Amino acid sequence: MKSTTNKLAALIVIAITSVAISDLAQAQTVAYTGATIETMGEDGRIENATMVVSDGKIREVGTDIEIPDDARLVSMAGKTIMPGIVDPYHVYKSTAPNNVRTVVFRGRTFTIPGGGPFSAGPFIRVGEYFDPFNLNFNPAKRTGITTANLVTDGRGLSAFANLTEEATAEMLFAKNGLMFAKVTNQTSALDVVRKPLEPPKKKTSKKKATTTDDKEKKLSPAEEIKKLWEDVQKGESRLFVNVNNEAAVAYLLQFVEKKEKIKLVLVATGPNLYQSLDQIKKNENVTVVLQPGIDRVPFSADLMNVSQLLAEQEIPFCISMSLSKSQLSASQDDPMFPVAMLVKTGLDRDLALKSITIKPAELLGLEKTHGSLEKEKHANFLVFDGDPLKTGSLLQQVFLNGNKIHEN
Amino acid sequence: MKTSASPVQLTNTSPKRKRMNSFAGNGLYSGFNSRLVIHSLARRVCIAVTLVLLTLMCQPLLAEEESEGKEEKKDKPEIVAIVGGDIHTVTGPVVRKGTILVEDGKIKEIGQSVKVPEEATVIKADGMTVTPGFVAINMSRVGIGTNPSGKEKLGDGLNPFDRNLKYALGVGITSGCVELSAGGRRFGRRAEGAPVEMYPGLEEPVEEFVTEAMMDFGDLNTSLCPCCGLPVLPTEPITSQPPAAPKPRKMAALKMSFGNLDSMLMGEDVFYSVSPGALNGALAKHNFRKNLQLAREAIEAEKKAGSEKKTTSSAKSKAAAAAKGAAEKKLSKEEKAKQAKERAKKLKDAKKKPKPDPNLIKLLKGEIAMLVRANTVNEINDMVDLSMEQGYDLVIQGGIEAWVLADKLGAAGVGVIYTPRSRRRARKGREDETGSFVESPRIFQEKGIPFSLATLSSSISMNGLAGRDLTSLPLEAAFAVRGGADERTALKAITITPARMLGLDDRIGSLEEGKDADILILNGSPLDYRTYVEQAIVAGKVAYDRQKDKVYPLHEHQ
Repeated sequence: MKSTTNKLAALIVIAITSVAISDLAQAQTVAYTGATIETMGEDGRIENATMVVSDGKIREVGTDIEIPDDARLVSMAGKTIMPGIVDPYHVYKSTAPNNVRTVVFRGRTFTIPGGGPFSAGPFIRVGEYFDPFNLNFNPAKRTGITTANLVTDGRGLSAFANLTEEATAEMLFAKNGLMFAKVTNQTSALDVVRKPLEPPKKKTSKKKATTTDDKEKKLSPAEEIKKLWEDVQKGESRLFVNVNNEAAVAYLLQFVEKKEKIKLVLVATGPNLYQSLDQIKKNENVTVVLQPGIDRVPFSADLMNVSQLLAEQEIPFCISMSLSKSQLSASQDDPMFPVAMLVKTGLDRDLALKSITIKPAELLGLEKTHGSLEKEKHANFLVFDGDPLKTGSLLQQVFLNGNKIHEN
Repeated sequence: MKTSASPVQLTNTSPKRKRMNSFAGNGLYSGFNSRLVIHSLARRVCIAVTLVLLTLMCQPLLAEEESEGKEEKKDKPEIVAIVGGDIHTVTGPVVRKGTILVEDGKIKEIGQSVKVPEEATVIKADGMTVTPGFVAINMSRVGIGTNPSGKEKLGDGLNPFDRNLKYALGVGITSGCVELSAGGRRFGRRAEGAPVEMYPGLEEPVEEFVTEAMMDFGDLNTSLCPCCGLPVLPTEPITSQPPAAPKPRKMAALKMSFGNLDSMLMGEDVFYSVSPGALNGALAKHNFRKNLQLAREAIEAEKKAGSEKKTTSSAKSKAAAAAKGAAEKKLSKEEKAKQAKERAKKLKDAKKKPKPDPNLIKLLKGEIAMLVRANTVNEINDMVDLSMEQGYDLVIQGGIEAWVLADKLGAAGVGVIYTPRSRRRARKGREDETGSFVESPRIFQEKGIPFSLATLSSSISMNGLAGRDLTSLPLEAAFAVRGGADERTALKAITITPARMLGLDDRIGSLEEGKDADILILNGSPLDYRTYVEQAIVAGKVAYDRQKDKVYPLHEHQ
């Protein structure tokens, strides 16, 4: 009897607080007390800590802090709070070119495989291409992703988004993100990256104009894209390249070898990276983005933890929780399970948690506002009912700028 | 020494056969040569052995010390030393218990008294047999992701992590000639050729659509049959359109450098490879001859241009320019317009003029050989006659009945790519001059026909075709020995002979100073079926290690 009443009471408290928070968080100062906080910042892990949030920002974090008089207290006793996950490479929509085309030859119609003259696909500016209708970010939110670098299957310029409760056009907080491309070991695919980064021989702006979307802008789109590539060439902006096989990794590394300024982000699976680890290590400007999980050593029954191998080689890397779409939708109950597996098989716990929070934030240039729970940063955080990396711990609440966007 | 003594040279009237003679060179009289070499060698070796024995004894000690200090220096050239094996150089004598020094992927020194520098990585090969990496003359689907077509370049489509590379290395194949269009669909293959209006409004057609039949028959005024899609050949008398050159199949020489993209591609278009249909019949032959004529004219024009350039001195050109300037001043506007028109017309004419096939120019210059499949006496005879008439190098693929024409082939210096296990039934009543013959390798060797060996199937297959696929290449060499060729020739047939056919004998096919360091360390005779490749070194790096790669069993034979 007693236990049921207790449970009921707890449920009521939770229900009331959740309603209250969603309604009032923006306006009111809230102090979350008694939680274990994985700050991912300088303070590291703090037990029995308090975090004060107002106007969507973190005001204070620590054990010995003054709670403002008007603050509403929310007890987080026994819970663990960690920063919202920053996804460095979130493929939110497929714009991959059609791989079948129709050709009319001497009166007959043929359907043949292989892309046409535009097989590289159009240059997509996610900031303008973004269409908030019919988009479902729920699996990502359930996984704990609060901020994402939105890209497509093709190539273009990404945009950074807050995963708000409802998908709206306002969720993009930076319309001009970073350059991204998908590459395989074929001339046409490799040229998507190689051609604009080669030292110019003659004027190719005319040709580029045909391959881009015909958007009406004061500055010609071709020129704008050219400028974006120049930034990549100078090393002022990072280039994300999704490589779909092990050979493409080799080709890309061969290409970047001579171009020391280019800051490359290799997005690939573990087995595709495995054979090229030595080559990656040689180039200091390469960062790796991979999916969490245990992989098979190619052509072997042995298992490996590529994140751990990268850590051993001191290669900078981030983990994207959304790279494997099946994993994303399958991991509803314990979204941190694949990360926990990495830790269980040798990866440093702190590094594992950083590689999904502060490290991707640094990669996207958002480290001042995102990625850790520190003073004056955005109040994006996850509430677990225990250690996030322990099996059985549930992700209970997801907060974005102080607003609850998901509750389990 | 090799070619001057050869009777092949005497009977060969064509000046364009230098390369063929070089790969025919080890035919008829090479036996005498090698015997002479052995005599003088024996004496030298005696002295050398006594000297070397002392150094050999302390070498293992030295080597261990040396390998420790190697990590400190990184900017210095990468040096590998393979020590203690019996080195079959293939083009030279066997060096017993010798050392090969490799620097930056090239062989620097071979011998019994080679000094191993301190920084060298030492690979011990005591009791092992060391040979050059095998060259597979007929490969497909190894090291390539997708077959490149249209504007896709082969150099961008390689896969240095292809598992098939390991299987190839496991039997000793370190380089080979890969046919790119093999395994393609019969219908709807794309290739470059006559422009086809595919994307109206686009500046240039990106890809052409050519069926295989069109490849074979060239750009005749073909139309496609609405029922089956095959080209309908014209039945009316052919108009005197400029005949298009037959479409050669794309062949490329690849190195099996697993994990190393940089050294993988050795050469593209290593053969002028056409299907037999492209040269069959009077019409096709006529086309081919015309195209060769075009190519010949282009070569001559090139020569002329070259010699003219030499004669015009700088003073002369200056004077000419001055005179031209003065003349131009005098010209009236009308005349100028006329000149411009003429120039435009010339340009137009130049565009109209059919361009010679660059591959045919290479063929006539002797840079590449023609590769054509021919098995019957008639086919072979036909192809040899055509090559004699036009004066280019020829390699016959298949050559099942080549033994019948051995005299002719030997005299013409035609190479054969032969599969000792291929069979063809003899025709009834003509058993003596048709069908396959088990002693073909012996006959080829006796008549001085350079032959290289190919497997029954050109790809690597792990399901059901064991003993037929590319991994049975050394086995095929053993079958050549069973057919009467001696072991030396059989080894050559999978090393230096195919390298010569590919025109890559300056890089691969034997162990010589300055050549690529593609080296095998075998635990027995290369022609024994019990032998395994212990390590395969490609471009100076260990690309295959039997113990680590676990491609083949690890047990030892008794």
